[in-house]
Amino acid sequence: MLDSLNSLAGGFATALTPMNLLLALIGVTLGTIVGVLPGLGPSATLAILLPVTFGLPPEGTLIMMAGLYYGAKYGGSTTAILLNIPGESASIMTTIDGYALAKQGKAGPALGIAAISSFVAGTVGVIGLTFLAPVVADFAVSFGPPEFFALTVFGLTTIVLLAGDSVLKGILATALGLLLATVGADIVSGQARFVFGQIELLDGIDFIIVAIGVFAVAEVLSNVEHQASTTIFAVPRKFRELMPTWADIKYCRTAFAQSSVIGFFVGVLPGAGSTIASFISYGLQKRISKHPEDFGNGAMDGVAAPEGANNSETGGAMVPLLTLGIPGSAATAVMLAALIIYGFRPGPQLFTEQPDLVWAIIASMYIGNLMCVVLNLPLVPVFASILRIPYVYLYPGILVVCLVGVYSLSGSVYDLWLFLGFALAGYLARKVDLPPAPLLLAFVLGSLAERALTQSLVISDGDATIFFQRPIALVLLVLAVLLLVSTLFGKTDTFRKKVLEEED
Amino acid sequence: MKRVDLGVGIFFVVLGLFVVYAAQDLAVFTRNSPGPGFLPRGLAIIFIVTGSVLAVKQFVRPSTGSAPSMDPAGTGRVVAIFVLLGIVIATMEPLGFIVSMLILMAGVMFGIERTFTKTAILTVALVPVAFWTLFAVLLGVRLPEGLLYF
Repeated sequence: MLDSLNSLAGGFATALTPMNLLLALIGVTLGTIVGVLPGLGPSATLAILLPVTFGLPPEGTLIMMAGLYYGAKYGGSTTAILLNIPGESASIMTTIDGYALAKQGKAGPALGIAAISSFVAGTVGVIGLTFLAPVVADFAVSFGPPEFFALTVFGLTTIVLLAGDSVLKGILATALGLLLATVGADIVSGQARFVFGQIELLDGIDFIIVAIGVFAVAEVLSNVEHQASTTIFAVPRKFRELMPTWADIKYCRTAFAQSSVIGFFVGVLPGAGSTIASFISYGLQKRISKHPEDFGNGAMDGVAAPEGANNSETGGAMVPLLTLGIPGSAATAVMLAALIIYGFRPGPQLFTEQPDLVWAIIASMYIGNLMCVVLNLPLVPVFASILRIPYVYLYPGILVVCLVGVYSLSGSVYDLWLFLGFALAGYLARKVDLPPAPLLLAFVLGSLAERALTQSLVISDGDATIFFQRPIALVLLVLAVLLLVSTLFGKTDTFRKKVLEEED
Repeated sequence: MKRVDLGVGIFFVVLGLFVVYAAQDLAVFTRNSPGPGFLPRGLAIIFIVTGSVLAVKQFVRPSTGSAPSMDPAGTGRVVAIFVLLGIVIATMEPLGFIVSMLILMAGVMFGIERTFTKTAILTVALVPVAFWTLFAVLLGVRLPEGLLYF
């Protein structure tokens, strides 16, 4: 531990130079902008930036990239809370309670809690990276396809928690999301599924198209239908009402704590990503919250938990990258490319061969995290004030942003037509109370789950008991079953009590 | 709510049957692992069973809650926005980003919301240009240029 502290001190000495501080600031600012705008992901922006950074020293490049990665996580919560647009899949959970809070006039506190939770959990994630990297690297390596499948099954069962009053409709929405995930070429056999002759669908459907159509535009249409020509969000006038109170922060302390841990350890698993981290954390918070009935209707800890996990995940995601040379996400894959281009060999020897570089990156993450909260917190009242704009002027702008977000994916008008179809589907789903969150979450997890299942059965030569022979997979599957049974039993019990009350 | 949920149930039963039909050429199992048809067939069963339960439930223990509101004026606005979005998407590449977004903004402000204030006129004029500047110029996002090169 003392060695790590000494090395970290050296890393700070490198990271705190004026040039590196400037690069970190550019990274977090650009990342925040990228995170706010749907359709522009951090991985695409990092890839665009890569050639631009060739003139910079390697530690400066990686410090800027890490800052961008961090900043995007902070920025993603802004549109999720204000406009019900999840800019990336990890923001889906934030939209559920964040947007509900915005409608109640609490956009400012929600944004503030998201920033604070991101800072706290992000710092814990980097502390985990600092002191636990070699230990958790072994844990990451032990996670194979059976464990991944069990993790995604666990994630899918947490979706039941989002089903609201109708479990049947929640199951149907989840199944529909899984079906949408099968569209395209099957990853193992290469056979086209449900493309109906459309070559544009061979690569599958992009998440942004579904998210923006089903969430954002459907919400706009619903508001327009109900004549939201005036301001639909009651935004407070007083400055202090635009920020979270100490009571809000204190209320969310369990969310800060558990999301920090969950985000970090899920982030360590290559490919797991912040989506799984955010909704495991959300699901857990709903179970342990003092007011679980508020979840889905504007629970402050329902924002803190997924945002914390989302940011803590960045620390975890850097573990396999720096210790094993395994990128955990598209964004860290670009960072890996940068390391290779500069002539470094990512892997266990990076810590010993290039300690200055590695510890400078880790130190910059502490600095970048602080920069993000310093940048974002003062902007909370500014962002929240956007909702003061009369809706008649606001929603056309939202539609323009949505069209840009979808078009920017691949410059294809076909994507725009697909988006329009999903907007119609999302609008109709709202009319019949089919919950959109399970659909979107299942869509994200579906392909991961199917791939992991196929890989597991190929490894075991078709023997399904592989899931019970691997301890981590077994534990996760048992937890999934317990969660499902306890949730369904809880809903059944509530229903039975309601019926008994009515009979009395 | 009973009739709506009955309709939803029937829709998913029909969807499940369609999935079975569309996936008929996909192998359910390969030599030692699930084939490309495994998950779709499983989902089809879920659709058919759950949809049937939801539909039948309306006759045994109907869902509570109110039916979705259908205000003709509101529905008209929604339909108008869909049509407008369709027109904008169809003309986005030939006419370019700024012109097509002008059509969208003008269609919403003047056609649907019937707002002819100075703010509305400024919004119609400035929003497309502002977004073009932000995305295409500052962030380097490729947007359709059309005949007028913007």
